[in-house]
Amino acid sequence: MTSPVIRIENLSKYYGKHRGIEDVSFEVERGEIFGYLGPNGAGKTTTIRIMLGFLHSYGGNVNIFDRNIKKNLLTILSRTGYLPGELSLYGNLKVAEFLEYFSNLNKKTEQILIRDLLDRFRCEPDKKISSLSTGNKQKVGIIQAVMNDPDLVILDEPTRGLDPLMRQEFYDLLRELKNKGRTILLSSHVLTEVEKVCDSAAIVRDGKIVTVEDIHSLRTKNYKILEITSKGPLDRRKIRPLKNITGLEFMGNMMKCHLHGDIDPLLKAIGKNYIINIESSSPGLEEVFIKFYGERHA
Amino acid sequence: MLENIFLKTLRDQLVSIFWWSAGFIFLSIYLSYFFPYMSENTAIFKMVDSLPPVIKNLIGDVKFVSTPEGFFNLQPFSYFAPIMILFYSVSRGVGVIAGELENGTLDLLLSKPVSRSGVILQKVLSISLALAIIHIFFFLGMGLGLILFKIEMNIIRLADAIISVFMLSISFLTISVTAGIIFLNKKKAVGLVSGFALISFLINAYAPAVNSFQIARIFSPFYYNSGNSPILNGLDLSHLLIQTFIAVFFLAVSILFFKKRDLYS
Repeated sequence: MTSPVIRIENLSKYYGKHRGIEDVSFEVERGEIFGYLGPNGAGKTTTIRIMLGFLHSYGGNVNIFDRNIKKNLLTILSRTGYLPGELSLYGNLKVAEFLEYFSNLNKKTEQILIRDLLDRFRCEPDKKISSLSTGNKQKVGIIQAVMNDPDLVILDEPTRGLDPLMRQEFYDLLRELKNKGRTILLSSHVLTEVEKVCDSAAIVRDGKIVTVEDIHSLRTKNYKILEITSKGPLDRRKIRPLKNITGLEFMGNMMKCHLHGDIDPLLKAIGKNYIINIESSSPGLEEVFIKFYGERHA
Repeated sequence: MLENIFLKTLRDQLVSIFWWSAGFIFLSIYLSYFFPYMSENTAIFKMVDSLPPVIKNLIGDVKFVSTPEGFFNLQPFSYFAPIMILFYSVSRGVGVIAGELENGTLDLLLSKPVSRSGVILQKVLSISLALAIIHIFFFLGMGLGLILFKIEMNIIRLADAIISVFMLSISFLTISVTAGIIFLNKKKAVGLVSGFALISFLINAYAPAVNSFQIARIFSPFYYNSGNSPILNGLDLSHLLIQTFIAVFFLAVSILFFKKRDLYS
């Protein structure tokens, strides 16, 4: 059995008296897209910054590619791509110049790959970075993270500022990297995003790992908030017994519930009633935490 | 010019190098144009002679002002040149790390396989090269001024004086890099280094007139620039070594400090 690409053991970091992370442990296997999920300020970025050598840990170990980061940082970085959560680029450079510079620092140039990525994300190489919108800067940031075909890609809130079309393109790119055997650590505070692309995820809250789960079990724990409005009264006797519905409320010809899993049983229970509108929304990460991990972690 | 951090830093300075070099050439020619009027103006000597001793010390020995060496020793080498070039050294020096951090680009830079010491060394070497280029144009500007206005003086002594200012600029460059890493804040670092520069400049300037400043003078980097008046007496090897030591010492301190430093986003 091959050893994991990332192995983090009992990692802790304090900022003076303030907690950064405490006793964080998880592993990421080769070819895995691993979600690192948690609300803002939970400790996701702190963990990543220790992994990249920006911060010194208070205790614990970080091994990447089976090497300790304290002793082999540069070797590890030469095989790693990174997109920071708060991305800033050199505004005085053109897109192509910026990518050329960072490609040179990687000491590994993949010009064909860079051209493909520029086309794919519809980036204009001759544009000055200072003239780009936030979304376009984010695309340049994504390209620089993957342009040298790294074995490990660490992405901190990567879809910030991306439009839905580019977000989909980004998810496709992640799947392609996974198929090539690359390992991806994706930090996010958006549960639906992690569900969409990750194989497994660690959930971090208040600096501690709450759970590490495969995405299937996480998906069953997640739910959608549905509001259904019908023309006539809904048949409550048929809807109430459904096992994948919680938080059910009826208000005249309208019902509100939390849907776990597929919608088909609910639609069948509604039967031939004329549906005027279905509104679906995702709960915030905080709500999911409180609902599934209880007050213990809330 | 984007092959490495050294060349990228040099590229970022190209416009500045041009204007600073142009500025020093202009200053050199302007002062050379001014010298004949000064050397013939006896009224100025009488006026300076009547000033209090402390002020006279700041200006220098008035009888030398009538000679090219004495005149240029006073201006630009005692005031204009060192003070002007410190603006360049300090602003660039504090920006080596604190500037990248404030711009938010340090994360990306350090996520590449370059060591922290490598980042500092490449940037400091690049700024040092820029300073060297500016000083070469300063020398050429002075030379041009001497030719244009037919002023005779020892060109080797002129080079000595410019080398001494260059070494002062390198000392303040590495002091500024260290301050930038300690504070990780450009404004605070500029404030500290500017304050130190002002105090050490005044201590050195007033030392000949104020006894209690005599010992303190050896802690002023300006003393090792102008204390021996290189344009009159040539380079003092011990001063040159101390200037080199200051630069290397603060470079080493900045590297050691940066290696230990936590870098927050």
